[in-house]
Amino acid sequence: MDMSRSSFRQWTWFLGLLAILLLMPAMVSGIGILNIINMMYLMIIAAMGLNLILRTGHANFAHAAFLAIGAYASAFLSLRAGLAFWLCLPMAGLTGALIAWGLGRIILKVKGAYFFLITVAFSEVVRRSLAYFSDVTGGHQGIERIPKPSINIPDLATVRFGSEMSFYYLLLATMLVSLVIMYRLQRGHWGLTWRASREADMVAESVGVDVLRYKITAFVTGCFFAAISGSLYAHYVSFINPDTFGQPMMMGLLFAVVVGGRDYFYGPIIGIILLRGCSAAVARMAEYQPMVYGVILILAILFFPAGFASLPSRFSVMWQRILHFRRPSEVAGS
Amino acid sequence: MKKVLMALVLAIWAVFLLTPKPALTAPEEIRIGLNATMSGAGAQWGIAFDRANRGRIEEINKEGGLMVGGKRYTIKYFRYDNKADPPTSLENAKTLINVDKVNFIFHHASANILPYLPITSEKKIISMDLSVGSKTLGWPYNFNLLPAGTGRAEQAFKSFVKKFGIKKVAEINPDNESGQVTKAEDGMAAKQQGVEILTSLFYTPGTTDFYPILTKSLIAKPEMLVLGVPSPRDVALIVKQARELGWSGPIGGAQCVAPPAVTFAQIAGKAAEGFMWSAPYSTDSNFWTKEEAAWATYWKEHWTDPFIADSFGGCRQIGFLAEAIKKADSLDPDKIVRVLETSNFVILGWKMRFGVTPDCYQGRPRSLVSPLCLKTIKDGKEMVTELILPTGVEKVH
Amino acid sequence: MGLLYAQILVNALVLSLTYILIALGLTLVLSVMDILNFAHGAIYMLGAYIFYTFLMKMDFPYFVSAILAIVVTGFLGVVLEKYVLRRLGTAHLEVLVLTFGLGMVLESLITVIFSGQPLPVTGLFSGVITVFGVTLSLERLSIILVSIVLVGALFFFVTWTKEGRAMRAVTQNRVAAQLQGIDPHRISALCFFIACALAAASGVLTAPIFGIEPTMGLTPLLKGFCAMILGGLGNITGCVMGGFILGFVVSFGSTLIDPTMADMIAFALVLLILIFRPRGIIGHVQK
Repeated sequence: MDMSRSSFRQWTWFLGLLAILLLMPAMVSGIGILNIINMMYLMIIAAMGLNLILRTGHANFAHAAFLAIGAYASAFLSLRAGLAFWLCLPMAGLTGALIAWGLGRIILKVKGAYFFLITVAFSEVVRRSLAYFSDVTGGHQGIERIPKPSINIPDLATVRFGSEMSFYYLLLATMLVSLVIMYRLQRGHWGLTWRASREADMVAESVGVDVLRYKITAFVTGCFFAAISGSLYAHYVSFINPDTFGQPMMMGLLFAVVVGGRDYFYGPIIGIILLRGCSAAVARMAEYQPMVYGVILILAILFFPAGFASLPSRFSVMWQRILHFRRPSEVAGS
Repeated sequence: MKKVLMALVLAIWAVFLLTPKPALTAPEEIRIGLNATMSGAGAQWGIAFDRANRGRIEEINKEGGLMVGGKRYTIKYFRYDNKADPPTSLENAKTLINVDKVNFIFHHASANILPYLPITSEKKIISMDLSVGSKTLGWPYNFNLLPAGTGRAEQAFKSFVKKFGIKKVAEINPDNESGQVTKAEDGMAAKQQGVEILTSLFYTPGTTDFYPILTKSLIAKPEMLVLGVPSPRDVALIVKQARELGWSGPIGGAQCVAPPAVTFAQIAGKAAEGFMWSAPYSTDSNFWTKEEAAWATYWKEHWTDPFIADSFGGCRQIGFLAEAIKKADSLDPDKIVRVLETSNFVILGWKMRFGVTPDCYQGRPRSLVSPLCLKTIKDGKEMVTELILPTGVEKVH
Repeated sequence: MGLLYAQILVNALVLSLTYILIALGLTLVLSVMDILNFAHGAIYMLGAYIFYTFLMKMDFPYFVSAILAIVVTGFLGVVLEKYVLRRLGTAHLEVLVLTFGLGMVLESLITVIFSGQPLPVTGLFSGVITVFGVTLSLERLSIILVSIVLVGALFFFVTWTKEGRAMRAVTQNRVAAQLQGIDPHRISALCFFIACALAAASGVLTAPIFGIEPTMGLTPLLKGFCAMILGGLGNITGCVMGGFILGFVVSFGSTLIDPTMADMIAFALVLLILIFRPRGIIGHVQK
């Protein structure tokens, strides 16, 4: 039956991809881009969180601030409280989630440009506070020597995640787990309501949905993953300061989501890979780099406003037309 | 689902195809990388350092390169813009190390280099640092080419007290890592000299209207206005606006540098008269040494925008490294480090060394003991009031 | 003491007016074209640099350079609107990314051509006047006067001229305006011209006082957005009010508390105001 054949093919693709992902460090060992791929994985988690919130109709410009919250929380917990990374990571995520819950309850009633400004204002307050209270946070010179993760099996072995390769597997694992969680959420009842609450608040409310509650959950989940990313960053780089989570990071995440395609689940993944790949490729151009990056961004938006993730479906529709020499009955695009 | 995977795979391969290919290390090549801020906040420093390094390396290569262990090495120079963003700076550094396979790195701005100092220290990549920060001194293989902030502040306050007999000052700093470090250092130095800092305020970098912060600074009636480490342009604006607000007392710079007298006059006019500051190198047409004058001429020949004195810092970066490699006659990092820590160097006509032993500049390991010059503006021109040479530092005609 | 407060007040006035000029251009574009224009700060910077080129590099007279800078920037804006912005319509987030990219390109272009150094611009006025013990430099007085004239002119234009009324019609209902015979494309172009010209005028005004550098547009853009949204989207009065509130908070906060705190307080205030009045001070219903 066709079912088993297509699911067999799906499995082959899936296993093939998994093999590539697992063997990646070996494949790129000569080229020296493993660190770029590691940052991509890290940012993918954050970008997926951002898209989650975006799909409920709110552009969260405080996302980078939540990365900062997660990073600083994780740094404090590991440096001052001496907790192991494996505890700091979820704790940091929960800290971000808690703050997001408190904030979201107040601000999610607001929409559009007003929400944009509120989140920008919040993010500014967070960053400036981190810089101002320098006795606690280290100010602009930040916090350094944040411990790297390690697994301590007493009397047997200590595995320390110090190298790019070890972090590759850690970040890959965290990214895949996060993706799976978000995929299940988006496919299920939550995701449906989130999408509905974006399109028509009033309609959703009229069928008895407490839209605000769903938006808060989306906001909390998205910021949770942002905080997780932040914590990973803190232990990956071992140095954080307020400027680390500034406008370049925020806009980088936003661009990735929009250019990748925000109506698609895997849009942010494509966006991050493409944009970070481009930025790395043109890094040699020094002072011309922002220009080239900006032009690529502009062209991408102008020609693919729905995002690159929309290409496969557009492509397959075009292919259908070529194959069958007739117009499909439905309108192209999705 | 299939489309997802296909797209993902294609995207990942796009990355491979697009990223720079690994460089094959030519046998007789020394690779130096610059990781500086060439756009955004603080761009003028990065641009200055970059031009200095580029210019000097070109000259060195024209003369046949560096002679090490009997062989001639050309210098290959890589430059990256970190846009004042720590994650970008980190990525640049990793690219320099992993892809371009550099042996040495030049950089500045502590917040941008702290992310990767652990990595360069581990790989024994010597870096020449021009940041105003204290945490960067904690890492081996990183040499700081600015005079120690504590020492500089000490000299500044000493001369303020001597010249103006002040006891109470108001301080202004930009709100960035240099500003926060400078506030701490100036605080210590002032206390040492018996000066009380009434207010020490920060302004957001990028501010051009200093009336609010000046108004507040002048409320407590200080005897002098001290500028910690604002950029030269900010110095000129602050001085101008302070005079506009009616401040007639002295204004001085603790660790900052004034712009060239011509630019200063263009921006601040008569207000610039009497401003005092200290500089680790010449900042105007009356250069101390002919080597400094030669560099300024090179700048004027190649670029139309005003000369930035901080570019001498860039000259120092390549200067010290080239000298150290020659003296060590080896590319072994540990040998070069030994040379840097123990020898005297003649750079830009000055004999200097790194402060490993206590000195009048509170010598710290891997921190340069450099000449310091106190200057003031008189009749629209820059005038040297005092030249402070720590022991062992002297002009080599 | 009264003198101090008077000085703070005057400081606040100057600050507010600089924010308002930028915010006006943003409001205009948002109301008529429903676009959040993130390139506005870069256009302000562009206007200042074009002024610099005419004045300092080509030695044109002061007023000629100023007028040229304003007009040239306005026309560049029209070209931008016609060939780039029109393609995207009003998809908010996409336009945001696009205009941000534009801003990046412009900033980078200027850095490459002029270098990233701050450059001084010779001004017309120098010197101060002292009124009742409060000092005001003549340059800042010119900002105050010219800004007030510009705001007044814009208000007059929008309220009483035919084109201005056409703009308001398009703001309220694009389709209905079309039915009345108004061409929305032409109105968009006009609107963008005015917005860019305003930004350039702002750049021309501030350039001699503060100098120019490629990043000079970033803070004004942020403060402009704050002022615009704080006052409530879609109207000039709200914009002006938002600008004054911001300017006063920053000035009074800086002098009475602490400059860094003042910035934080300004943003915290924005947060609070928007939480309690989600439509801004004099907001209209969000489209």
